[in-house]
Amino acid sequence: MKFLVVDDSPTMRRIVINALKSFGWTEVTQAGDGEEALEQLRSEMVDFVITDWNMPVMTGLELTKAIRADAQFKHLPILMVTTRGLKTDIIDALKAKVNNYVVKPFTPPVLKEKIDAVLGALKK
Amino acid sequence: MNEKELDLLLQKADELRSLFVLGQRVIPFLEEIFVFIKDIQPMLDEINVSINENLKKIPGASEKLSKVTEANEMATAEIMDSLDKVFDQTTQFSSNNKKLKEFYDNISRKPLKLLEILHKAIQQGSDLEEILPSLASAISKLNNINSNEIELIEKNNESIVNSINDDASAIMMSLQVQDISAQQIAAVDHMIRAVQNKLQRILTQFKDTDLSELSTSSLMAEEPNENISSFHRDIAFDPNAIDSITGDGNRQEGIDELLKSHAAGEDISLEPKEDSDEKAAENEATAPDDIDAMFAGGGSDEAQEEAPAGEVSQVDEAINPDDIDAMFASGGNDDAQEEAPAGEVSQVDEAINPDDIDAMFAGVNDDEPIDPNDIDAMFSK
Repeated sequence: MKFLVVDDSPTMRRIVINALKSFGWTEVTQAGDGEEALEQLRSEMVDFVITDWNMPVMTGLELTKAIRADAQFKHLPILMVTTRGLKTDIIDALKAKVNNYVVKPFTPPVLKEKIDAVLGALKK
Repeated sequence: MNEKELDLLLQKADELRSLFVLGQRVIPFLEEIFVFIKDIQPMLDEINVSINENLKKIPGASEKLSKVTEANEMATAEIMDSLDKVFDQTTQFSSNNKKLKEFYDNISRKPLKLLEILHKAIQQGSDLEEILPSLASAISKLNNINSNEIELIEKNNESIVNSINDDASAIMMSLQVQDISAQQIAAVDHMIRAVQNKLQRILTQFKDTDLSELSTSSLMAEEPNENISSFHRDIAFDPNAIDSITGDGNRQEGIDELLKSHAAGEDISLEPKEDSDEKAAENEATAPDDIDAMFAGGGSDEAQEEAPAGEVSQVDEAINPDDIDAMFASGGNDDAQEEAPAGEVSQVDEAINPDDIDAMFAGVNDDEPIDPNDIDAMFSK
C-alpha cells in the first residue's frame, strides 16, 4: 500500500509519514501542495492520499475535486487532515467527496482508526 | 446734513457696494467648498470606519499570538516531560546493560571453565565419576540463572524500549504545534500587512492626489482575500488554526458524528442557510479538542488506554532477544567496551579451539590435580 502525504508544512509531512511507518506502512511519497500531488499521482502508482486543506498553489479541497474529476483517480481514497473544524468545512469536504476527515492535532490511534475505516469501507 | 457728511455717506455706500460685489464673487466659491465638504463627508466617515475596524483586529491578533505562545509552552512542557521520562529510562537501560555484563562475566564464562576443567581431568586421567555430582549441581545452577535473571532483565529492557517508543511518538505528535503556530502567525502577519497597506493607501491618496479626485472606492478597495503569507516559504493558513489547540471540547468527536450522520443519509444541511442565526450556528467550530489529550499523544496513559492493543504493538517494536545478544556482541555500552578484553566476547559464539581455551585460561596450572571443590566453589556465588 503506497501513501501520498500532501501538506505544505514539512513538519506535518514528517509527523504523518512517521506515524504511517509506525503502523507498518513504509511506502510513502510526499508533496507540498495540490498541484505537486497531482503530478506525483500521474507519475507513480499511489493507493491512498492523505492531504492537508490549507496549502498554497492548490488547496486540499481543490486537489480532492481534481482527483474526483479524473476518471483514472476518482476512486482513490482520500483522508483530509487539517486544522479546519467548522461545520461548513466538513460539509464542503463531504461535498468534494473526501473519504474521511481528521482534525489536527491528531493522535496516532485516531489517524490509524480513520485509515482503517476508509480501507474497511472500500472493501465493502 | 452738510456736504462733508454727504460725501462720507456716499463713500460708505460705495464701500458697501464693493463689499456686495466681493460677496457675489465669493459666494459661489464658498458654495463649492460646502458641496465638496458635503461630498467628502461620507468618504471620511467610511475611512474612519475602516480604520476603526482594522484597529479592532489588532487586539484579536494579539490574543491569537498569546494563544500561540500558550500552546507552544504547553507543547514544550509535554515534550520536556517525555524527554525527562526518556532520560530516566535510558539510565535504567544502562543499568540493565551493566547487570547483563556482570551476568555474562559471572556466569557465561563458567561453562567454558567447566569444559576446560573436564578437559584437564580427562588429560590427567582423573576419576570423572568423582566430579559428576558437582558438575550436575553446576549445570542446574546455570539453568536456573538463565531462566530467571536474564529473562527478567530482557523483559525490563523490552518494556523500557516500548516506553521510549511511546515517548518518542508523543514528542512527534506534540510537534504538530509547530504547524498550527506557523498558520496562526501567518494569519496575524496577513492581517497586519492588510491594515498597513490600507492605511498606507489612504495616506498616499491624501498626500499626492487632488482631493476632488478622491473616490471612496479607491480607498476602500479590499485586499485580496487569499489566506497565504509569504515567509521563507508561502504559508497557507487557517485563520482559526489556534482554536484547534486552545478549545475545550473534542473536535474530532464532533466531526465523526457529522460524518456518521452523513453516511447514514441524514440531512446535515449541505445547502447554506440564509438565516443569520442558523448560519452562525452552522459556522460554529465543532467542539474543540481537549488540550491534554491532544498533546498527550501516544505517550500518556489515557492515549494508551484508548489505543487498541494491536496499534500500540505496531508503534512499539518489540525488542528481540537476539538484539540483546547483538548488542552485547558489539560491546553494548561504552563501559562494557572498555572493560571487555578484545576478542573475548566475539569468541562466545565461535567453535572452541583447544588452543583458545588454553590461551583463555593461561593462568590455570595444568599440572595441578582436579579438585571437585573447585567446581563447587566456582558456582557457590
